[in-house]
Amino acid sequence: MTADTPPRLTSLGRALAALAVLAVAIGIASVTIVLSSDHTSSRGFAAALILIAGWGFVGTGLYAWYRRPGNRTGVLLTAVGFTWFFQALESSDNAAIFAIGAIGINLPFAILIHLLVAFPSGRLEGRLQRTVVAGAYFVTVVLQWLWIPFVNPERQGCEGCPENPIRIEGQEGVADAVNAVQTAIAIPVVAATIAIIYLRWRRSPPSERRVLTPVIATGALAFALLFVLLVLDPAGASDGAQRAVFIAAVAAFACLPFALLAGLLRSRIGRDEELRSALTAENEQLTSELRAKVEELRASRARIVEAGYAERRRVERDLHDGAQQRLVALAMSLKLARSRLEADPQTSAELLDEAIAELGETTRELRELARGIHPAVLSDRGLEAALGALADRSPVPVEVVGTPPERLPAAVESAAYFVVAEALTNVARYAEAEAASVELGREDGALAVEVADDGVGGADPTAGTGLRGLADRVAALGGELRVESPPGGGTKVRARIPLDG
Amino acid sequence: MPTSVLIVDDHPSFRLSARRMLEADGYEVVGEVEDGSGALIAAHELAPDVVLLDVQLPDLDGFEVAERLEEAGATAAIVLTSTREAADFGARIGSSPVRGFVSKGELSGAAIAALVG
Repeated sequence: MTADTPPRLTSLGRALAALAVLAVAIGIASVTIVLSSDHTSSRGFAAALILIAGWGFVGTGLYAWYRRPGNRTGVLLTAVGFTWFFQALESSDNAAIFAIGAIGINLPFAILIHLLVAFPSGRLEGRLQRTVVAGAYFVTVVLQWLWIPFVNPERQGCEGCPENPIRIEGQEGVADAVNAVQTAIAIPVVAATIAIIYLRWRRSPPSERRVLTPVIATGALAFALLFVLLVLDPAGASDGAQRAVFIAAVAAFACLPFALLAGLLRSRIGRDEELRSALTAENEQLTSELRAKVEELRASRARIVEAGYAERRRVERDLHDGAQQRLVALAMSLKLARSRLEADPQTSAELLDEAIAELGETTRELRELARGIHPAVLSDRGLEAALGALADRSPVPVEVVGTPPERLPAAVESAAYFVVAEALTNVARYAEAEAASVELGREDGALAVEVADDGVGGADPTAGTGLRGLADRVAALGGELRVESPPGGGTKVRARIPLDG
Repeated sequence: MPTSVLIVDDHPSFRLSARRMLEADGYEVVGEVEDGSGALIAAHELAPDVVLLDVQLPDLDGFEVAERLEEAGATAAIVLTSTREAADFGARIGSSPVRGFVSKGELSGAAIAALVG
């Protein structure tokens, strides 16, 4: 599956690598703090518990984050790992660091609850799940902050702990009250967490259950061992028994991230949802791209149709203002000559001479007009001859090079011809150029056309209809038209017209 | 006294032919202008009997010019002309303050006389 293929080392990969380095540094610092503590019992085991679980959570979290960036479980695992190191700060002999540890020490358990409730999709669904997770954070963040100023570590049974640097003296009662509220909220939160996980496990199909079972079993074992460990000491159990349970708890917590990771990677629910959301996102992008393309095509088609109408109006106007006016005048001259034929043969002859000259002009104009509609030389003799004729008529000297000698598809020849014709017309009208060049060439199955001049530049291809219409015409053949016209730097019109249509 | 005519048309070849034809038919061409605004001034200054007015002009169209002449109280008989047929302009000719329309192909002194009376 493509969703499981690790992506190349991207910016995400680099960021995660930096987090891994940070976790190694924090882990080493934590071990140093714990081992040098003068108020922590079983320093070696405490350091081992912190290091194995902390690195285990961060390592598996970063791996899950990298493999499944769309699933929040990796982020949460990593967060559990980093906050796990708060425990080490509580071993510090420095009062400020000790206090920071006391503030953050319970946070990883809230994140763990968040993670387990949201597992394996990484998303919270429904009001119950959100309420439970919000309760966990409320207890471990808000109430923890409220609790800290009133705590006297010595009274909590910690011998050799540093003083609470922000302690408000003589308010132990407040600390106890906050502690009681924490417990009162924590109990239903933990119970609800267990219920949510159990119900999810119950409702899962057998295939899914196989994935969830190790996660839930490991998590339950870890929390149960922690609970047993907490009650053993007040119950007066032997050091050996406490030690054995402690080692088992270390092992269970160290296993938990790996069980979660295995569950996450094997989970079909998470993967399907992720695939679906990835596909949906891709779909949406494709749809919007398609919509933009359709819109562009619609606009270009409308412009082509409009250009067609505009062209017909131009032809009508040219015919009306040109040939038709001349023919009308011609008819009047002939009528006049006819009426004067006997009375004034001299004037009649003059009128007839004028009529003949007028007729020649009319013929020339009609020929010009017809060439604007479709140049006969192009269909009869091909692009080379047609471009040569365009160059000959241009008032600015034009050099034409590279025209393919063979015949090309009619649509390509025609588009190339009109690109050159329009560009040369613009050169003559606006460029104030000394010379222009037309260069053609075949490039990767396309005809490349470039018309360049040494004039004043500064042409705006979007301003006039001529180049815009040509761009649409070239685009209709799957090609493209570009205009480069820096002020003072001449103008280059480049078209690329695919030969296979 | 011959009937005086002002020719309004933007094509010089037409103006020349029309002038010759009308003069040959006994009219006196008192002026030629090439656009609508020129027509308004010339009609006022020259006070011709007839204005031969092309419909398609570079600035105002012939109908507009006819209306403005009417508003200005001009007494000239206005004859519209065009290379197109009267039918191309539909009801506009009938609702315009003009004596009539003659297509350029039909233009002659007699055609104008028939409209002006």
